[in-house]
Amino acid sequence: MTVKHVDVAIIGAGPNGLICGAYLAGCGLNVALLEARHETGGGLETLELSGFRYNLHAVYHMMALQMPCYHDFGLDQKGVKYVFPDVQCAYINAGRPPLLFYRNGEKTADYLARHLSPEDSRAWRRMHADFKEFSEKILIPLTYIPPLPFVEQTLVLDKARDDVGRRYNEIADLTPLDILDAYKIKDPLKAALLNLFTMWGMSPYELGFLFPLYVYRMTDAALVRGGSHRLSSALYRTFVASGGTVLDRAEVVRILVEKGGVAGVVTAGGDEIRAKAVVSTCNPEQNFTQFIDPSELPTELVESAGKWEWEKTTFFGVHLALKESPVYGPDEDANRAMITFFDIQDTPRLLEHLRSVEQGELPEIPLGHVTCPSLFDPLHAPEGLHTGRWECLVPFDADWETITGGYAQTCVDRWKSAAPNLEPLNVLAYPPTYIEKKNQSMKRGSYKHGAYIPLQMGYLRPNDMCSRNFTPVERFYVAGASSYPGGMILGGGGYLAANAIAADFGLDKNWQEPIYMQAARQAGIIAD
Amino acid sequence: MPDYDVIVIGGGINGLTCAAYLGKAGLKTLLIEARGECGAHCDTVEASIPGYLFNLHAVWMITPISPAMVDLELEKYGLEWRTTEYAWAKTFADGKNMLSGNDPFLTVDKAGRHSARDAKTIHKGINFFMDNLYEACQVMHDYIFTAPSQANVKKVTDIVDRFFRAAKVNCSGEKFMQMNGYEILDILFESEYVKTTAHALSWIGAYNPLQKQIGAMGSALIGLLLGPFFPSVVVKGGSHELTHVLVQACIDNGVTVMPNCPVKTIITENNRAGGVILSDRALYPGETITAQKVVSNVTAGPTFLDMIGEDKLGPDMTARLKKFDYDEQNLFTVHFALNGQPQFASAEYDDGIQRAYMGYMGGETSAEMMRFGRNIAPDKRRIHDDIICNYFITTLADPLQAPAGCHTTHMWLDVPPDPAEWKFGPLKGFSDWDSLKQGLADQMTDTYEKYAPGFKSLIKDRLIYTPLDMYRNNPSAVKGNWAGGSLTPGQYYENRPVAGVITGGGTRTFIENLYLSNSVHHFSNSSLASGYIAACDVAEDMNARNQDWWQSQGFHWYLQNCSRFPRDLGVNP
Repeated sequence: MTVKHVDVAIIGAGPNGLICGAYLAGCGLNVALLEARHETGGGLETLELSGFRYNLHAVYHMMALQMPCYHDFGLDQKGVKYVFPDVQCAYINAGRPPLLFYRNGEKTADYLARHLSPEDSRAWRRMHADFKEFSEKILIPLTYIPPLPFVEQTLVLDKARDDVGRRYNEIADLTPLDILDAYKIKDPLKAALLNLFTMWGMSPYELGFLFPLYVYRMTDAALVRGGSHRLSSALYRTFVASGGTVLDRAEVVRILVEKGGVAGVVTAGGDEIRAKAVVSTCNPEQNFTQFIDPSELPTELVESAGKWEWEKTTFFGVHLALKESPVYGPDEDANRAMITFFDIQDTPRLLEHLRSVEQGELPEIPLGHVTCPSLFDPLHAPEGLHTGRWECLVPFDADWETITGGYAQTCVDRWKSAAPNLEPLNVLAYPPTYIEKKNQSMKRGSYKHGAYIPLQMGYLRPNDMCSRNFTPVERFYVAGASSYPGGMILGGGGYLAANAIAADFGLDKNWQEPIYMQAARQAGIIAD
Repeated sequence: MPDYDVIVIGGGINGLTCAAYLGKAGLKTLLIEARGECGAHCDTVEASIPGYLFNLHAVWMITPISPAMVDLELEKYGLEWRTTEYAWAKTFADGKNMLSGNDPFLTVDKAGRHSARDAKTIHKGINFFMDNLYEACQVMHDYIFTAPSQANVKKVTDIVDRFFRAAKVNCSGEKFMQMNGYEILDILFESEYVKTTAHALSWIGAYNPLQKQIGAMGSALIGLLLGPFFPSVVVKGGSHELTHVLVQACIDNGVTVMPNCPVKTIITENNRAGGVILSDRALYPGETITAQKVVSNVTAGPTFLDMIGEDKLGPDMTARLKKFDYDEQNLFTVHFALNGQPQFASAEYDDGIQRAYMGYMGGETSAEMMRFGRNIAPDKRRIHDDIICNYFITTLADPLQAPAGCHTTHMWLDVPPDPAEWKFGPLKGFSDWDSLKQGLADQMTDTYEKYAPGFKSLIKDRLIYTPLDMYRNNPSAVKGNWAGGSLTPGQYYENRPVAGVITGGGTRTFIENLYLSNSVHHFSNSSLASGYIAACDVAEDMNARNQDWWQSQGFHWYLQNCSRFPRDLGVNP
């Protein structure tokens, strides 16, 4: 039982906690980062076993170079090297040539023209150009500034000097399915593109305003050389080198509130960390129904936190040590894709699959996506060998303790039916119960800390009382995946919270906003 | 101007120790590691059900004897030790057991249940070491933490000799140094329970009891001294915490730590080392980094044959290094996640066995232990028919390594790395591990059940780790050898790694400015001795050895602090 005094206590040493801590420690604040597990990194977990590196959680990085911290912390020089595979996605469908998406959208258009049809190619080219523009000019800059209410943001975009705002607004209200129809995208291309969005547990009927970002970024994604944990390791070193303290195995059980303001945290071991400010990267249920005494909070906030919705689907993972990289057929490019999907070519069938998983049915034929990171990064496996990773959407509620082994075999068999040379030397199954056991914030395997649904997105993430990182408790901030802009290793929550705290504490920031943000201000995309 | 004063290749615990000392001594030091994480032999992974931590290799640690505890202030970074009431146990098929206590008089009591004479001998040994504690410490410090020399051997010989005389043992120090483990224990003890308990402990320290001197040192010295005089502890939070602590000590002392950077070449010119070239697999492929001194924490084979190359070594040295042997016994490990504590059948005889985090099962007599040793030796390479192996229940000492009330356990079976046969037929060698591992693990699981009935019903998950896995994990561990090369008389102490490699004493090799912090010291294990001696040598050669903070003596910190190490924190009520 000790008492320690710091300027800022941060709960959770996942990417957002580490990022927030590193920015604040860099400003000279005395920051303590409290982590319940024995290792930092949260979802940035790479298991190194027998020379094989298994990315147990996050693997594809959508905003690798866009994250402000990448440049602000010089992560490039701290061992964070990204690989952007030329072939980003391959859809292996029986009876058809593979459907490939290259990093270069034009190359994809050429491929589609040759292997699908000229109309499909034209439709893709038009849509990709728009999505790229929407993402680069609007969606990426907006990821790293405090959100406005949806209606206000729409008005800003309408009035923007660049007409991209108005063009984006035209589709932002539509569903992903409607957007695909508006661009005259047809199956099998339609199912493939819709899947780049729904594979993350998002509904085909909602959140169309995010759809362009996912299609654009999921075809320009990266792997971290040496494994995803290298990113958190570099963030950790940045934090420690700036004088920050990491307390691991320090599970926070209570946030102290005194006179309406935050006063510190208490760990499960009874240690007290008194702090001028507290940042939580945990979910609203933890923050407002477990950590803080409800009598210190507005009733509406406690109620809202109690109604927080978890994702309806989660992931089942299988990690393989392989003798060879999987071979799907004679097309060399199809064998060198970053992500490979099987049997996704028919939108009604995909919709039916999503519906059944959302309703709690365990798919007999799982729709997996797989990657073989050692194809692009030799550090991922011993020389001459490979690492394979399978992931598919499943419901959380199943008797995982009993069925995990058998279901892993089903997944491996499914993969092997597309790549007959698949020969695992080792199989590690990773059921969704493990996600929750490791990361308490990811309740029910909710890896984004809560569903992406309109009422929990944007300005409303986690809710209107805790928007823009602030909460009704003075100097208590939220920064995790349950705050704007969400999870998926965007590095947004931690960055925005650091900005909010820097403003509150009147700190001299030693970082500047990214160039793309300045451009968005000039174009009137970001309100002055 | 070279980029660095010193480059240390390999972030195992000895490389890290060396780098941290040199950084603290003010030298501009770079540590490069091939893997993503430092500390290859100190891996702790959560590879199974969350909450269960498996220590893939090192788990019994002797680090508290290291001067680094004080010099590098390792406790400051959160390093804590845990143990159990009993430091070592052996359970027998007839339902009896033999236990070594962290309290030495417990060992006397337990041996007394098997033989009054043996208890008396142990008692005399304890009295002798207590009476001569600080002198014994000095002898052991010199033997372990300074460069191998005949003078050091003489000091050990002398003190052993005095013990024999004090205890009226019919042996001399000189004879002791020529004996194997079986010969000396036959003189010291009469009970097979006592003798095999010591033999088994010698195996686990990689001290094959069949080897001359090596076996005597392992069986008699470690066997007698374990616990009160020699640590039997685990790291709180898992062995990888030691790596974390050493990495933090490195960073704190200004060392640059670069993971994911396998080295292709140690640059040598005119028989002088001057830097490294990174491999094409590295994060910074093909990069050249220069330094005044290079320390290799990679084992001798790959250091010279791969990173320097035969053309630079010349035919004579190449031939010698090619004979450097990695063929002695290696470890086949099975890890288990359990939802309760194993109950040994022999707990009825003495329930102290339930409070021992490490022990041994099988090998009922010295003759059987010897047959086992001969079967797995390089000239036979047979996986022994019966399972005779170590076990650990780390969570008895440190409950943080499993969910509340649950436990981890693992079994260490000594095996030939290149097996030629086992009871089911001939084998092709090293490459066979992937295919034979399940069958062997099943046999081991059955053995555990035999000694601890009900064991199988506790199992939630199982992870197998073979010598081939060890090699894949860390190619410096050729054939999965974890001792930096076999401990055989030709590769022992002053001869290590092989005659002619160390020419400047300690860790200085025949290549100027190249030092070894692996494959040099026979007694490194987790004492950090190899890294410590390499740091002494490099610092001395760079006029940086004279530091106020750099003068503590091995064993002192342990003797002063061991009584406060928490015990039995994870023993189920």
